[in-house]
Amino acid sequence: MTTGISLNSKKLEYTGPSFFRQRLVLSTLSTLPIIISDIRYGEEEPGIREYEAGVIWLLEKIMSGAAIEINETGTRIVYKPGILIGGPIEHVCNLDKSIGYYLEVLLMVAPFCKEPIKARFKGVTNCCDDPSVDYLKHTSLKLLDRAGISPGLDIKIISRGAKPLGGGEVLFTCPVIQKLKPLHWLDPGLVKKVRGIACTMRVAPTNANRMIDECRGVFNRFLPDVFIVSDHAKGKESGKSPGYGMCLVAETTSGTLLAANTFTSVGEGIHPDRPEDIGKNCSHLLLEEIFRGGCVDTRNQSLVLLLMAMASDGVSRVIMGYLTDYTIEFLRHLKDFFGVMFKVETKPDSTGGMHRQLVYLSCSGMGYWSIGRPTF
Amino acid sequence: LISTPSWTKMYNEYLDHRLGRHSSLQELIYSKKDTILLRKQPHTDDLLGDLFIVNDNRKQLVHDSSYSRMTVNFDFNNESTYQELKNLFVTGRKRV
Repeated sequence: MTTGISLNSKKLEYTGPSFFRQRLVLSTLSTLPIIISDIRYGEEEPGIREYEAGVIWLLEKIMSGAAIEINETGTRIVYKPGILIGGPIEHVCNLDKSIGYYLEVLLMVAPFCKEPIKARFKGVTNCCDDPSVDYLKHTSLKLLDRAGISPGLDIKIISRGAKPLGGGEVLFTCPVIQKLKPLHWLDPGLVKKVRGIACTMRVAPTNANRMIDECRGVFNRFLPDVFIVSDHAKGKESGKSPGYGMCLVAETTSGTLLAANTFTSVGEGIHPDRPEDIGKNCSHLLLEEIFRGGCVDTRNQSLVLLLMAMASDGVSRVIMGYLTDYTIEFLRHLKDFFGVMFKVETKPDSTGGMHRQLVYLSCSGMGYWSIGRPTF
Repeated sequence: LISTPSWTKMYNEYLDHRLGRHSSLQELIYSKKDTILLRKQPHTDDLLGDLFIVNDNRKQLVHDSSYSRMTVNFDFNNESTYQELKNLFVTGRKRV
């Protein structure tokens, strides 16, 4: 628990543990204090989980003057954000969630800090439920790059780690920006190439080849430009637990990146998927993303919406595919915290006779300016 | 693609198990793709009282996960699915 001064007298109140990260992120950026109550109230194990507490401590590390109060049972949190400072930090992530879970949070706030962030994460780099580090490196970072946050933006995988013991290490660096330009991403384009990475840790490297063969079997029916590399981690770079998985990225003629990732841990008491199943699942997930369409893939929708809301000097317009529950709630939260509202229109798209719906989102950015950022 | 057992299915499986019809429940609960947990209601031996999937972990993950699984279920065994999807790829476009 820390003490500090609240920058804003207005407070927002929420109940329940849902959408925990986006509430914290938007509270941090807007400096609006929030109170989250009844977190898993009445359940056998009430209160916030350790990995959720980890997100709070991560944000606290890059802030100055934050005040966080958590009650004894962990069912009520009072979060009063401070000024975003940034700088070098080190964070040991909870092993229930992957590093990607924490990186998603940092990707949203890092460009708006006072100093460039250099964060070292330790924990699980690849798992099946959260985005893998490869996924964020090949999609989210490219999106930020496309939005103008480029020099010095990088994710470096020092060592890989799978559940349950982790052992992975990742270095994330992000520059600060003075101003965000409006986004105009209105052409999803057609898929021209598929790239991927099949990683194996503490298992036979042939598993990677089996995954790649299966993927090529699926995608070579669509296009010849399929290139998947295998990354076999050995020794210290392979973490503490065995596992294998892959990340596939489809690039379109307009530069849109759509990606999917799958992973399975191997070990005592765990029934791993066969490498062929992993390869096939990942390919099918990517085909699903391609069908959903739009200029942004499912996981990055909220990140792009945030960039649109923060941009200055004009209107941002982006086409997306199917909006997820998480994205819809993020739109509501953007209105709560910043008063930014989006114009949302759905239009049928019959490219290739698929009869899908695309969502056109537009908004006038608020021209976000962090109070911690130097002005000269 | 990734099957998520529905509540009803889980409930029926549980009842089947309780009535001794088959004993696949443990497999169902701990199967690698199921994140749904089954817990006993404390302090009760009632047949229906001790059933309850009080915590649906997958639902929780969706609520704090930027990803939502499978909304369109393609039949990837069907050749026509591939033919339709092909039009979203550069090489699959018909030349005009």
